[in-house]
Amino acid sequence: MATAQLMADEVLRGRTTLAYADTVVTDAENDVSAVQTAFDTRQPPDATSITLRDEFDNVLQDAVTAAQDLRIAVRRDDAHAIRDGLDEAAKAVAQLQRYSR
Amino acid sequence: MKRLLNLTLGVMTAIGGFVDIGNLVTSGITGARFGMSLAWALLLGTAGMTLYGEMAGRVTAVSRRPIFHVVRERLGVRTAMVNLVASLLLNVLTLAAEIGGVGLALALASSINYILWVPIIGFLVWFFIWKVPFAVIERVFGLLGLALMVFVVALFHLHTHWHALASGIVNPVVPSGEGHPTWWFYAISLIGAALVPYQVFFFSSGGIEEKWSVEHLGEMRANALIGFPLGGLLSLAIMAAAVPVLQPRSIGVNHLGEVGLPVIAALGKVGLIIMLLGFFAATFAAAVESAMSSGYITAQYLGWSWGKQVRPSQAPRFHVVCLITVLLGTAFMLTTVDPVKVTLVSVVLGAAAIPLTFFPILVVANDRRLMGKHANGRIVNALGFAFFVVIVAVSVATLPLLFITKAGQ
Repeated sequence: MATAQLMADEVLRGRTTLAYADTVVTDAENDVSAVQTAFDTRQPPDATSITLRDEFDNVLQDAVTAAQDLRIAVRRDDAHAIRDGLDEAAKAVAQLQRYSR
Repeated sequence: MKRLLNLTLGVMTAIGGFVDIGNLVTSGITGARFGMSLAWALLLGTAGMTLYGEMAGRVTAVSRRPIFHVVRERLGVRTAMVNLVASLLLNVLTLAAEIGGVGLALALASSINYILWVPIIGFLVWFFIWKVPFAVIERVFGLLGLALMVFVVALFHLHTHWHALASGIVNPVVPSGEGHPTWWFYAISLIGAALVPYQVFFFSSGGIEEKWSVEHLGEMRANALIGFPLGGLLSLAIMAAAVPVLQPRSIGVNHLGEVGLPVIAALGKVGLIIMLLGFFAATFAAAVESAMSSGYITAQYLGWSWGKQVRPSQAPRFHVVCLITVLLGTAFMLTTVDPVKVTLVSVVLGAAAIPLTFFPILVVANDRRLMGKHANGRIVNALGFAFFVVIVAVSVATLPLLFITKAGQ
């Protein structure tokens, strides 16, 4: 997610080409999506773990959605949508950090 | 004047030609993840490459024979066969990684998926080997590879804490949260990226293509002793540029695009365009060199006519081996395997196999019957032997670390 955020920032500052930004943000989105897919394949051992897995899966889904929105905004070169996407991504990162502690 | 020009071009070519996808990826990954704590591995690998590159070049210039020819003659057909097979397999893997690297560079420039570029790149690699003169390949791409100096410029434009960088180099410690096996795995990957066997064979065979003799020892030494270390510094700059930009944001390098983020942050679009040119030149040159290296060593082992100083019709088997290598490397990349993972595996396996290449060089460079007064002196021998012990240790540790860390995860 941090990669997508940094790249989107550079797009807003006009310091990168759209082709480069598109490739980097798409790769970042694929990476987040791969993490969610890998996480979903894990078998929770008990009921508490199932609850935790469902909670964290929602957080991961928010991160995937944020990455998708950023990718779409970057491809459209839509500054307003990129700013919205960055806000969304910041919230997703904050949630992920909360669970990683 | 012409010799001075050749010398300058040779040194610049060595700088630009030293860096390939292995250096780009491993330097970027380690800088982002471990700061400068693994700079020692890069410096060690570069020192070893310089030492053994000079030995290989000296053997070539004095004996007027390529290193693989001499290896077969001095160490016997069977030992050389082991070296040949290992080197050919590694060349295919390295070539696949380089083709993937060119594809990733073109994808970053065009946003067209790298896999669509792979067949075109494979064709272009073969075309350059078939049609373009050796000196043009070596110099044009070597010089274009110098575009990667943009990382050095970026380092000065970023808010770089020089004292912290220097401290990381001098006092290497495993960062908190990272395991020792992973840290050592990446140390080996950096050493492996600096010691790619194809570079030794290409350097030596290139000497024959350029008709090196004892009179060219000075030129050869300048290429090895200035070019390789400065190329190593370029890799160090890529690693260092990742520290102020990627490490504080916990950005890991999983793709080539992330390696370039520090340059964009520092220099914007102009830096980006120069960097992409450097990425393309470094990886494309390495793709051509690794494919040609397969042709060189096979032809030298089997006693065939080889090289680009003769027409393709006079060295058909050399060109067939190059073509087969290109086809295998291209086909491997078309399986959609991740180019960055292929790169990591190829540099680590290269580190495991490097004693097979360096041991014969050390033996032959000591052979006074062949080398006369140009045989290794005591200091070079001591350094060569000490480094050989290191690479044997690296070779032994490589595969266990590869499996224990799941390739550095």
